[in-house]
Amino acid sequence: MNVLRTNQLAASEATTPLPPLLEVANLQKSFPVRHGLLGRPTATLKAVAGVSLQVFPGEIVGLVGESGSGKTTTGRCLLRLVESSAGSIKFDGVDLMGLSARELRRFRRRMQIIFQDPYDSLNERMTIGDLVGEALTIHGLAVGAVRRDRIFELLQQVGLGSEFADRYPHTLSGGQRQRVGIARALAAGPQFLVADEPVSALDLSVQAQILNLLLDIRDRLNVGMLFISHDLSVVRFIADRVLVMYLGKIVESAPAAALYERAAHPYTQALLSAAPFVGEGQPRQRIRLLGDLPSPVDPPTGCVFRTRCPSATAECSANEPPMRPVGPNHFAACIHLTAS
Amino acid sequence: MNDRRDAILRVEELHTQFLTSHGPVHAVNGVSFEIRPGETLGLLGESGSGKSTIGLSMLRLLPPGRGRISGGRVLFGGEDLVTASEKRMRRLRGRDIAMIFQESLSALNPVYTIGEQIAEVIRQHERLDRRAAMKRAAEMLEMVGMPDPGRRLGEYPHELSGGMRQRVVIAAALACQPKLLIGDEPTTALDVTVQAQILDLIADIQHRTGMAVLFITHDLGVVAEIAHRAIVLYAGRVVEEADTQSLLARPRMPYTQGLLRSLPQFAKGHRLAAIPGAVPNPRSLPTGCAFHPRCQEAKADCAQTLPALTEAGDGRRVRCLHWHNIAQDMDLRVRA
Repeated sequence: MNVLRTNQLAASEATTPLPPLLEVANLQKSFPVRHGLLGRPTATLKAVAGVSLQVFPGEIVGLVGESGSGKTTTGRCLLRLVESSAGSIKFDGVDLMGLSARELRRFRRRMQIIFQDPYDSLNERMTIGDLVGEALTIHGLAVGAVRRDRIFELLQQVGLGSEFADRYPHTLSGGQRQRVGIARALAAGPQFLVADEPVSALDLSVQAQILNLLLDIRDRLNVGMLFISHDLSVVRFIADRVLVMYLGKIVESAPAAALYERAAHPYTQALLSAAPFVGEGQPRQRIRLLGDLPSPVDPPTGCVFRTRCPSATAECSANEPPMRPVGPNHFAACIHLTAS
Repeated sequence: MNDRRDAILRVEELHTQFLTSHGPVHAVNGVSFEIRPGETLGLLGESGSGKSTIGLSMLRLLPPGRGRISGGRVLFGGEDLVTASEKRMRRLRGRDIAMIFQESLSALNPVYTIGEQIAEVIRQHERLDRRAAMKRAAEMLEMVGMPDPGRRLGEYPHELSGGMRQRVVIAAALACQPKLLIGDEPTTALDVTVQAQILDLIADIQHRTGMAVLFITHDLGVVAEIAHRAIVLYAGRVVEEADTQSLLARPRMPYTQGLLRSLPQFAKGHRLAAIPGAVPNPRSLPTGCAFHPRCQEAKADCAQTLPALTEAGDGRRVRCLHWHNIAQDMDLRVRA
């Protein structure tokens, strides 16, 4: 089914090149680091250090990285929930960076976010119906009976019956809360979703339900999605294409299957080998990474991964490695790679 | 191997309750298991399974006035910890049995140096002067793979990364060479590359010291990686027990099968075989088998009869009325 869809996508690309829904070029975000509450900034922390990516309509792009990689900040920057320091974000051909707050509001309803923690992200004093209908009111999309019907439809769409409309968040399980979070994100009819670790706080048995739901929504509404996660197996399952992020930079980009079968970047290889293995056959040979993530305040020169890389050589500290093709639609930023 | 006298720890019919404004909630409903020296037992469960409560009950660390052990025995080397004096428990905790938690930052005191905190644990249990205790602390840091341990002794918890802090917590836990280490999701907050280091570290130390490990987790992958034997919990009861390999290759309880099918790497086609519904609220457990409302194999009697934990051969136990009629062959080939 996945293969079929990808083929259809490829075929349609060949005849009429589909423009990307979202096109990000050289996105950067730095935070000043202060000593004390009112101290002068003494350094800058580069959370996002030049990220470029594209998301097509109906495509799920996985963004994988460990804590401190900058994946969450990247997601927030795309929606201008956090202001970027540099770069461009084009949504449906329009540069979002140039928009005033007022102009941006019209775009807000077309881009929405699903948060990780279904316990923190819902106002406990609002009913589920009002939580789901909030965006309808804010964007002036529906009132009265139309609004109510739309809320019922949204609840249905995420697998909750209309009877949930009068309930309060504290009566819901974690999985039900996350369904409410998804219904809220869908309310304004978005074309693009950022899903930031949407299943990380859920039990395994519930996680599978929510992943299926996100796929249903993609298929039904043809939304593009940036799916941010630390969990490689989840991303492999849900994403069409995967980006691997390390210390503010994308180090590898590939179709999901290719990434897991032929990971090219040493960091991706280490990440895959570290994931606990359940199943038949032999687990991968584990590549041990030494030490911890370097500080993003003072990142290594040249390749950011070289301080922990098992294949690093003296040259790796000289220049920042560019993304190079290593296969069809498969790129990696490592000077030791040759195209396959 | 199966000789009961070999076990360093035997938990027998443990019952634990929490007192709430809505009356008592039964978090643990008659759990039994044992661990032998040098063995790692995985305690696998989702939220509400009672897995953390079991760990806290064993060390008598339940919140005072709210949680209480309402039945059963926890036999450590033959001594029942449920009836032991508080003074005796203080001797055992940290010396014979150590416990590490998910949140390493809250386990460490922010105003003391790393060295002082490890030395403090050692001096509580052994007659050593400050200098000797510090020397031992440095050795412990070296054992847990802390680079430059001499310098780290003088640092404070906030100066370390999450992975390094968890190493400090492990160093402190192992400083007195406990016979049993209880880990409650000790790697859950860590990145996979760091988690792999910590799992290797625990296995390494176990190999050298022969300590027993009880590893409490929600993560099937972690169980596969570290546990020799595993117990699956659901709604405060053991529902399946087996050596890890057989459990993961041929699970017998429909719940365990459902968990494995939920794993993204075993997806068939482009949807996951999710378990419907959610884990039950311990305030209102379903009648009969607690899993029956979510079970694809459930029959009429499952709603009436609580199945006993039944011996299923090869040291396996399973709590299901219909376990011999349930297909055991799961296709667990990882999706290409």
